[in-house]
Amino acid sequence: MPKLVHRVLVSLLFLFIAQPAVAQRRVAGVVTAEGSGAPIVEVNVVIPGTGIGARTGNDGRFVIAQAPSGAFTITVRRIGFRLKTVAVSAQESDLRISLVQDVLKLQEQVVTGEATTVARANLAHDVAVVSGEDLTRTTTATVEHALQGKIAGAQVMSNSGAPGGSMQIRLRGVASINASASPLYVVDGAVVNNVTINSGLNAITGASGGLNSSSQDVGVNRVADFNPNDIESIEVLKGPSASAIYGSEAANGVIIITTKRGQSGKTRFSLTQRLGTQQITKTLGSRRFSLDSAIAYSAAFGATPAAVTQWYQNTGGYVDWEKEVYGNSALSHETSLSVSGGNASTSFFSSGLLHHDAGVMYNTGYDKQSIRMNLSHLAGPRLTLGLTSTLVHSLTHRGFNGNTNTANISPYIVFAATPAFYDYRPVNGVYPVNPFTNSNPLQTLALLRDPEEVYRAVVSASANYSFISGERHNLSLQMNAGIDQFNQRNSLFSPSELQFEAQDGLPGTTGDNSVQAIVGTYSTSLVHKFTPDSRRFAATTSVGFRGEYQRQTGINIVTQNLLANQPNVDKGSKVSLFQDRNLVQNGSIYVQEEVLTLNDRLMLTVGLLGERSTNDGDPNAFFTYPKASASYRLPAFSDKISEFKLRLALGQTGNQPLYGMKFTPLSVVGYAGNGVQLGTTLGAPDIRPERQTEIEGGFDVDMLNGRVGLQVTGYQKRITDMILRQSLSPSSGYSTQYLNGGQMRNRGTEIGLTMVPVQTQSTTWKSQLSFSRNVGVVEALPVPPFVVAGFGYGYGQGRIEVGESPTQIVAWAPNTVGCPAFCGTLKYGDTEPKYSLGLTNDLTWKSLRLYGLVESRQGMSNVDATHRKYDLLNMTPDYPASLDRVKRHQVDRFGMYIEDASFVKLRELTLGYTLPDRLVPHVLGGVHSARLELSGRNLYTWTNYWGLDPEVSNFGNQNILRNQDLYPYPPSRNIAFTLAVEF
Amino acid sequence: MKTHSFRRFLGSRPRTAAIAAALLLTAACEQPTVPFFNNPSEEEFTTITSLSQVQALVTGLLAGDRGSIGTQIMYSETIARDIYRVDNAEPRYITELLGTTIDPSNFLGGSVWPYATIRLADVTIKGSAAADASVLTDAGKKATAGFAQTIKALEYIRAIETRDSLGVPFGTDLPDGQLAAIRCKPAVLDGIAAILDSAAVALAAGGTSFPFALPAGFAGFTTPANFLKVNRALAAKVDIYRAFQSYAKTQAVSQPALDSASAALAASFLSLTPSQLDVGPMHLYSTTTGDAVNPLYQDPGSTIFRANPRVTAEAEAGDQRVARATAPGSTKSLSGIGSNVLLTGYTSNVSPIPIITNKELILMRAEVQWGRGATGLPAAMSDVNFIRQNDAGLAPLSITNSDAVLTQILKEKRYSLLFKSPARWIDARMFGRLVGDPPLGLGKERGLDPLAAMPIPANEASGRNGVVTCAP
Repeated sequence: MPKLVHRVLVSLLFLFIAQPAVAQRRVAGVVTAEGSGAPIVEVNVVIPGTGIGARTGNDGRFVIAQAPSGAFTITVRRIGFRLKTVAVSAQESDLRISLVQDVLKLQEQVVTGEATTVARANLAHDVAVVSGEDLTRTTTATVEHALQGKIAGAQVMSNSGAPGGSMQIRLRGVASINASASPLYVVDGAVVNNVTINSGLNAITGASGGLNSSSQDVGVNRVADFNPNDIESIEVLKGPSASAIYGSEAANGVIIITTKRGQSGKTRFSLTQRLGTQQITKTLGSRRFSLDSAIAYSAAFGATPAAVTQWYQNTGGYVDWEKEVYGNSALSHETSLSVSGGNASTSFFSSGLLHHDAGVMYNTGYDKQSIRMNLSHLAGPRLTLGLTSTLVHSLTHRGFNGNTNTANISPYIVFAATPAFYDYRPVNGVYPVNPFTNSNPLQTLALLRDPEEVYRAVVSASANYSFISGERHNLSLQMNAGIDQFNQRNSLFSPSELQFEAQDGLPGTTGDNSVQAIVGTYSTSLVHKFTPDSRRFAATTSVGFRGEYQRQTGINIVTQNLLANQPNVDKGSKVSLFQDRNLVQNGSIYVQEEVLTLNDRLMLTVGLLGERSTNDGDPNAFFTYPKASASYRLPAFSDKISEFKLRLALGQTGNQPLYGMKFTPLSVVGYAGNGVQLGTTLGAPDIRPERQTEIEGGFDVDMLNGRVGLQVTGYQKRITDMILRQSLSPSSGYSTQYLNGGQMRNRGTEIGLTMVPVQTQSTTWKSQLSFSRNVGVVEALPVPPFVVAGFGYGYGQGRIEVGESPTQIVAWAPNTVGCPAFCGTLKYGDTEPKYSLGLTNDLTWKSLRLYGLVESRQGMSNVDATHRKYDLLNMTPDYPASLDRVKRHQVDRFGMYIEDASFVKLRELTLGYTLPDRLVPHVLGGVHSARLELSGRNLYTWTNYWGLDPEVSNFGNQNILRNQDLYPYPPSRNIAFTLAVEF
Repeated sequence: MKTHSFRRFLGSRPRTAAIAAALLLTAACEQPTVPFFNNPSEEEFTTITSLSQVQALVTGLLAGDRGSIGTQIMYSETIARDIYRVDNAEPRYITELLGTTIDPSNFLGGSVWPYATIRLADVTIKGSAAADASVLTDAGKKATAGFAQTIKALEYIRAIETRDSLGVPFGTDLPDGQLAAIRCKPAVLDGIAAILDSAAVALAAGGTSFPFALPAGFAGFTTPANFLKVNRALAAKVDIYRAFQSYAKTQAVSQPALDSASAALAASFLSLTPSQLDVGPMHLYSTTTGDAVNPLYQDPGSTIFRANPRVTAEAEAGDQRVARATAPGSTKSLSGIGSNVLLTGYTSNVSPIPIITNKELILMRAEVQWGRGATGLPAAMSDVNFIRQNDAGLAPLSITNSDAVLTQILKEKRYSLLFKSPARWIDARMFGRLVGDPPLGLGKERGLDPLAAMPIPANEASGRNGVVTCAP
C-alpha cells in the first residue's frame, strides 16, 4: 500500500507543481531491455527537481515535450530494472536508453514502517520479498504452498497432504512456547486472521478425548483463503524490522501481502486456465500372507477358514488398498480472470477465481471461489483514495485422517491393523464388518461426510492526504482501515450404520461447528520528509497510531444416537454443546526517524513503539519496543564489485499473552443444578508480553554489474519474559499457574546467492540459492523442566529444559525395561532442521522458459508413530524383518521410531512457451499475448523417512509439538497444464 | 551537516508536533476491560452480588466433596481388604492398593487431595462476608459461612484420614502462590475441630433458613439448625480421632476428647429409631448432562468390583447386611487376587453414597463408651446390640471383655458400612489393628500387610522441593 502511495505521490508532484518558465525543446527516445533489446513499457523518465517527465508506451517510446533547452540529466526508473541516470546534451533530441534487469531487486521499495518504505539498496536488514509472478509459477491452492522453499530462514511446513491448506511457517526458529506460533499477516495494510478453527472430527475419533473439536483435527489456518493470483508481492519481515509497528504480534515475523493494482491506460484482460491432476506420491505397502498364514493369523480375530479363503480368493491375497482409498486422480482445475485499467485519476484491478482441487483421497477436495475489486482514485492534487475488497467462498472435504482413539477410522490405522488379503468391498451394497479392527475404510469413505465451508470478506480502505509537497518539505497524512470477517462452518455426519458407530452404544453422530471471526484494524500516520537545499541528507519522520479489534465466537454442537439417521443436531438423544468466545483489543503509537545521507550511502533508522493490549494483565500499560538500524553502502572499490553494503539492525518485538491467560476461571459443574468449582489453572493477573530482542548484521555484495549478488546475514534472537505454565502444589487449590520468566535464544545464518550466469539476447539464466541454519537453546527457566506433551516418552515428545534445544524430541532411554518407573530419558532428535536449502533456476530461451525449485531440509526428526503401529501390529511390508525392530524396541524403548526426516523435494517445475507476438493475433483474434505451461508441484521427494511424508504434524499448528506422524492424509504430486492469455 | 539546514529541519517541527499530539491524544483513550467469557472468573466471586452466586458456590462445594467420596471409599475399602477393583486395563488398583507402596505421581497417589474444594470454601466464606446487606443478611452470611466451614472441615477430614501420620497441609487460606505448612495429625485434628466449632457458632446464628437450596440428599438438614446436627456428627468423628490418636502406640485415651465427642453426638442427628438407621446427608447422582453417576456402581454384567471372599466367610450366619451388600457372581481375578462375590450395595448408577449415617453415629457412640473403660462397656454393647438387632437381624450379644467389645464394635462397623464408608481402614489403624490376622488385624493380602497411609502427592512435593515432613 505505502508503495503505491509513494508512487502516486511522485507522479502527483510532476503533475501539479508549477514549473519555472524556461526555453523549451522536444526530446524523444526509446527504452529497451539490455540483452534482449525488447522495448519496456511504463518506464518513468524524469528530469529530477523539475517535475518534468514522461512515461513510455507499449513500443517503449517516450516524448518530453517541454525539456529545457540546455543540457540536463534524466533519471529512468521502472520497477524490475535498475535505476539509470542519463546525461542529455543540449544537442540531443533522440535518446536510446537500455535498462539492466534488477535481478537483485535493489530498487524494490521495502516497508519499514506503517507508512514508510525504503529502497532495498539502503535496507539495514534482510527482508524476503516474493513477487506475485514467483508465487504463481506453478498451480497452487494457497499462499503458503506458494512460499515453500522461497524464503531463507522460513520453514513452511504442510501439516498433512489434505486439500485446502493447513500449513505452518516458522521464521528463524521457535519464538515462544505457550503464546502464538503464527506470524502476523497484513494484507493491504490491514491485519488479517490466520486463526485455525478445528473441524470437530474429534467427536468421532476421540483423538483428544471428549467430544469438542481438538488440535488433532488438523484444521486449516485461514490465510489459505486468499487467492495467490491476486498478489503483487509478499514481504516477509523476519527480524527486528518487524517491531516497527506490530510489537507484540510480531515475534513470529510479519508477512506483508500487497495485492495487485490497476494502471491507467487501456483495460487489460488476463485469463489463465489450468487443468491438472494429482496422485499419491508414496504408499506404505502391507505385509503379504500365504493362504495358510492368512487363516492362522485371522483365527485370533474369530474369522473362519472358509471366510478367510473367500477373502483370499477375492483379493488374490493382496490388494493395494491404499490406492483404493487414496487413488483419486480426478481433474483439478482453475480459472482465473483479471481485468485492470483506469484513467488518469482512477484505476482498478478486479479478478475472479474458480479453483477446484480434487484430493487423492476419494470424496475429498477443495473448492474456492473468490472475487476482488481494488480501486485507486486521485481526488485532486492532494488526496489519494484506495479501496481493496475481496469475497471468498471455500468448500473443503478433508476426509478423516490422523490420530484416533475411540473409533479407528483413519484409513492408515485400519491398514496397519488389517491384512491386505481382507476384502473390504461391499456385497450387494452391504459393507462387511471388519473383524480386525472397528472400521471399514471403504464404508467410511462412502458414508462419512465432514465438509468445511467458509465465507470470508476482507475490505481495506486507505486515504492519503498531502499537506505539503515541495522540494524541501513533504508532509502527508495516511489513514488505513480494514475489516476481515469470516464464518466457518464444519458439518459432520457419521451415520449409524458405520461399523465404529455402534461401539459407544450411541450409534450415529452428527456435528455442527460454527465459528464467526472478525478482525478490524485502523491506523493513522503522519509522515514528514525533509530534504535541505544542500541535499546532504533526507530525513523522514513518521508518527502514528494503530488499533486492532479481534473477536471470535464458536459454537459446536455434537449429537449422538441419531433417530432414523437424521443428520440434524436436534434429532439425537444425546446432545453436547460447546461454546468458545474471545475478544482482544490492541492499541499502539509509534514514532520513527529515518535519515539517508552521505550521497545516499548511509541510512540510519530509529523507532519506538508503545503498545497495549487487553490480553495483558493491565490493559492500559504500554509496553515499548525500540529499534535501531544502520546500513552503509561502500563506494565501488573494484570494477568487479559494484557495491558492498554493511548493515546492522537491532530491535525488540513481543508475543502477547493469549486471551484468558490473566484470568483464574472457575469451572462449571452440575449437581442437581449448576455450580462452580476452581479451575485447574491460576491465572497471572500481571501477565505481560514475551519479549524478543534481536540483533541482525550482515553484508550484501553486488558483483559483475548486477550479475551476481550475495547476501549474508547472521542473527541472534533472545526471548525473555517467556509465558510459562508452572505446576503448583495442589494444596494451593490449583495445579498450574501462568507466569512470565525464563529465557530462550535462537542464533542463525542466512545466505542468499543470486546469479545470472547467462544473459544474452535470446537466453537468460537466473539462479538463486538460499541457505539457512538456526540453532535454538533454552537458556534459563524459573520452573523445573517440563514436557510439551505429545503421546508421552513412549513415543517421543517435547521437553523444555535449560541448555537444550526447545525443539528437541525426548523419549525413554535405552534399557529402561525393568527399571522402577523408568530410569531416564534421552534426546533422540529435533524438529528444527540443521540447515535448509532452496535452489531456484529460471532459464529463458527465446519463447521457452524452464523453471524449477528444489527445497531441502536436513537433520530434523519426526516421531513416526505410524511406523511404530505398523511394526507392533506386524503389518509392515518387510515383515518378518520388522520383528527384529519390535524386539529392539523392547530394549531401546521407543526412541527408534524417532526417525530422520531429512528430505529434498522438487517443489516446482514449469516448462512454458510464450507464443510469438506476430503469431498470436492470427491464432487468437484480439489477444495480445498467450502462454502455454506445463507445471508440477511436489513432483519428487528424496528421503529415507519411512512414513508417508516428512512434512507432517498430527497436532496442527504448534510451537513445539510438531513433526508427529500418525496416520496422516498422504502427500500428493500435482501436475497442471496452463493456458494464459492477455487481451 | 550544516547548522542552518538543521535549524530549518527543526523549524518545521511545530506544525508536525501539533498534528502528532492530536494523533496521540486520540490514541490515548482507555482500553476497555475485557472479561473472561467462557467461564465465570474467580474475581467475580470476591464479593457476592447475588444469591445465585451463593447457590453456585454451595453446589460447587458439594460437587467437590462428591468428587472425593467415591474414590476415598473405594481405595480405603480396598486397603482394608474388603473390596477389590479387578480392572484388567488398570492393574494398579490391586498391585498398589494391595501392595507395598502407592506411586505418589500416579492417579492413586494424587487422589483424595481435596484442596480445590477447601479453597472454594474460603472463596465462599470471604465472598459472602463481603456481600452487601441487601444481598445477604447478617444471618444469611453466618449461615453460608457455617455451611462452607463445615464442608471445608469435611475435606480436611478426608485428607487426614487418608494421609494420617504423614500430616497434611493445613491453614491453606493464604494469598495466591503461598503454600501452607504440612502439619502433623494432632495439630490438623485440633484445627479441624476448631473450624467445626466456629462453624457451629455461625450456624446457630444463621437464622431459620439457608440463603441457598441443598440437593435432595440433604433432606432433613436444609436449615442452619438441622445442618448443625451434621456439623456435630463430623465434630464427634474428629473428637473420636483426637481421643484415640495415641491409642495404637500407647493405649492412651483422651477423656476430655471423649467428653467433647459425647456432647457432639448428643447434638447430632443420632437417633435410636430403628427405621432411621440410614438417615444422614448423602450425595445423589444423576444421568443428566453435566451431572455425575455413582462411581461405586457397576453393571452386574460387567462389574469390576468384587468383595473379598473373607467378607462373606467371616460373617455370622443370617447377617442381613451381607445379603443386602453382596451376591455370588462370576469369578474375576488379577495379580494374585480373585473373587466371585459381587457388591450389590448400590443398586443403580444413581444410588446415593452417604456422607455419614445414623448407624455410623450409633457405632461411634459405642466407640466413645468403650473408651470410657469398664464403666462404658455395657453402654457400648447396648449400641452394638441395637445395630445387630435392627440392621443385621442378629441376636444381641453379651460381651464384657474390653478387647472383645472393641472387636465386636469394629465388626459391626465393617458390615453396617461395607463399601459405604472408609471407616474400617481408619479404625483398624487407630486401634492398632491394621497388621495381624483377623479378627485382631486386617490380615495379609497377596502376602502383604495393609498400607498405613496414602502418600503425599508428587506434585505437592515438587512444589515444596520434595520436603514433606510434617510440623507439629
